[in-house]
Amino acid sequence: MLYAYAIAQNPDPPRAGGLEGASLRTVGAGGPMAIVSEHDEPPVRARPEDLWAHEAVVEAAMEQGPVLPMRVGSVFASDGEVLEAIRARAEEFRAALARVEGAVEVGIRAVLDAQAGDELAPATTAGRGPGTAYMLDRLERARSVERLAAAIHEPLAVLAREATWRLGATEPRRLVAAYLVDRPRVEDFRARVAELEEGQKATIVCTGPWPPYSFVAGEDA
Amino acid sequence: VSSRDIALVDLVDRLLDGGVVIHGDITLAVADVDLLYVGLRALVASVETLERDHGISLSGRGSALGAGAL
Repeated sequence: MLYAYAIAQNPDPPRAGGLEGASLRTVGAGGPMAIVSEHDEPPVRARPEDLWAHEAVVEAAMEQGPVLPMRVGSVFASDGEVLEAIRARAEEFRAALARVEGAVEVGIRAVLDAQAGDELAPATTAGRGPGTAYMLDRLERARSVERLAAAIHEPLAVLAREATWRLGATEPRRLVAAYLVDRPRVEDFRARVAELEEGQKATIVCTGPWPPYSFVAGEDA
Repeated sequence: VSSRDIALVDLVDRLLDGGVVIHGDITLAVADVDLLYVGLRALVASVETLERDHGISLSGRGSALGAGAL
């Protein structure tokens, strides 16, 4: 079977070893190519060393041109099956490769501390029952978290080609976001993250540069 | 908790939720994935505790490419 790491433009396989040390090759017919290695059994398990091995191949491929990383664990029976799958979505992959060319993904994760409830003006709660005050307090906290998330996300989104973000629903509320950033702007982006961390009541963890895992869909997908 | 641990949390998010899915044949065993998440929950919790108790900022040090993680 073939294990697939990424869709790429470059027909040369990356200079790296695959899972279990297998050699890499590309499968394709002139358009987007799949980077694969051959195995008798599925070569990947959900354990850190295998995930890093998959990642290492994708990162090596990124040095040779734009890539669309595959979700981990993707296998095919044969070259024919890979070709068929690529041909069916060639236009989508071409568009997606163009969209990520020259860019990397940078991730942030921020724990948002909302203290807004402590600052509710007495006038707001005066004359109301404890249940109402509690609900108002919760509402104000939720709004405060949303404002804080926007105050972190928006200045970063401006520096990115594209962005995706989500706000966790459970306490502590957490902002998890990914940004598609032009390679030359990565240092500026990191500097902006550091500034925002100074200015906001939040700890921001920034990771990357990553292959564009969060930006693999074509324009119209 | 090292920068590589933090990068691992983000890597897992990306590899299991992101990336191109061509067909339904993802071969990872569900039990393996569950175990991985159990391990990571402890990791995420310890990262957050560190941040909160000591005000340690880990920004910019979680790079998968830059931290010699490979």
